[in-house]
Amino acid sequence: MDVDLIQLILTASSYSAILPLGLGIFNWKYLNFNLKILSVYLFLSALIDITTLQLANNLVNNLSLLYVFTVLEFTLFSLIYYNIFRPLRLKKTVIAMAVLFFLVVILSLYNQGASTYASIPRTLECALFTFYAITYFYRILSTSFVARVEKDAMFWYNGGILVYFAGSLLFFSLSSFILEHASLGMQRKLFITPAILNIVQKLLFTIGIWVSQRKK
Amino acid sequence: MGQPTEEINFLLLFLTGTLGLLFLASTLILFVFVNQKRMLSQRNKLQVLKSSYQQEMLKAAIDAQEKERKRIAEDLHDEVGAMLSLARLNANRACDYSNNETGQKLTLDTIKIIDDTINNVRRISKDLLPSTLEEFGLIQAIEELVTKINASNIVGVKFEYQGEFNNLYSEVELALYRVTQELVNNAIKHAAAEEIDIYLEKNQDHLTLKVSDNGSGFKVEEVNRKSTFERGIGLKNIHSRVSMLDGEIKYLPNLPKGTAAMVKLDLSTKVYK
Repeated sequence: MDVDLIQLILTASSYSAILPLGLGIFNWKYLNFNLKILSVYLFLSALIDITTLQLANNLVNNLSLLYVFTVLEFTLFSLIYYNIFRPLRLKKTVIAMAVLFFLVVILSLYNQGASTYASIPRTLECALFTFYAITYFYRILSTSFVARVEKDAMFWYNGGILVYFAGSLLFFSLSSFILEHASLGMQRKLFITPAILNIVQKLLFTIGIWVSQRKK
Repeated sequence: MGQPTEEINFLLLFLTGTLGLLFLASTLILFVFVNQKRMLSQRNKLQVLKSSYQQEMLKAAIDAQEKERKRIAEDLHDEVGAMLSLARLNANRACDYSNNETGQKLTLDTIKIIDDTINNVRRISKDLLPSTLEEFGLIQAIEELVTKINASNIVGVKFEYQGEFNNLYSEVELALYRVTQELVNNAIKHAAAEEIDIYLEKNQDHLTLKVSDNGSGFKVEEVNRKSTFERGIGLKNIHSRVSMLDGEIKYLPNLPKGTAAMVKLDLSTKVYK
């Protein structure tokens, strides 16, 4: 029963990008540039998540795909934050952090290889996006540039980013340790955390695209 | 981490840490959400206060304007009028004492000028303070205005009304009279209208004033879109008086030619005595 539930959550997580992606495609012409980037991300996320799940079900190592996904995810989300932070003179910070991140990815690949879990790049990614999302919320609080937050797509986007990356920070930082030392049963239980957070994130992205659609 | 107890301890620690981080993240999002809602509500309250303050200011300005008009009208009637009558009397006497024809002609011309001036002063005084409005009410005052304009034979003004108008506040009557006067004046002066229709209707819920003309008209959407500050003095006055009564004014095209101004007041607020 437990195993079935875990499998169900992992499967639901892998397919969770389909709902916001469908909404994004349906309303493509009404989306702004940031939401179009988000829709591209959702497409890649759905593609890689489903492939990863199939590979895992067939007991094939899928960790190299995680490297590819991490790099793509970081690039697309950084592009969105580059646009969000452009008026704040924080765009240089976003570029500098992106350079740092790619250096860490290269070092991680060089030291551990592509078939291991991308623990350090994922942890750095979590920390950076948590910082970006907090900065965004701080900006809302300090300048009140968004009058009705519930109708602002970027509010929901940043909510999704903060919930997923802040909640997964501990998991990604300990993932190498978990894969090395925990039993397979425990590993499956622990993998539920990012899976549930991934579903929550995609639901918040769906709301973001939905409220943007209502603006048309 | 081979032992099941160690694994459970690790799981508990991991879950505590993750839930703690999630709690912080959710709290921040919730705080931003609630704070923005509170700020929006405060901003709305401030807007309402600001608008009610502006309304008060507007009312005070219009009251002051009316008082000043009344003072000028009374001064014109009591002082200038009396002095002119005295001057006419003296001129009459001078005519009687004048021995030559040229002197008599000049005095008679002077009397005629004084008579014209007395008539003008009376007219200006009446325009400034419509005594009919105070004595007989809105309908009679508008009827008098219409009769006076029709007497000029330049424009044809028709006035129709429906409903009972005896129970209006005097400030509402005065505002409606001034608005009618200004709209008719605009139709004659700016639109060069030949026919003007004034229609006044009062039912249980609303009071409607419609002034339509067959003049050259104007870009209705543009005027409706303009803020009070962007309008001319005449339109500004109309809007000030209407907004003082919490009413609304709309300009519509009067097909096939001209413009119609529609003023609507909500009777449930302060229109009744």
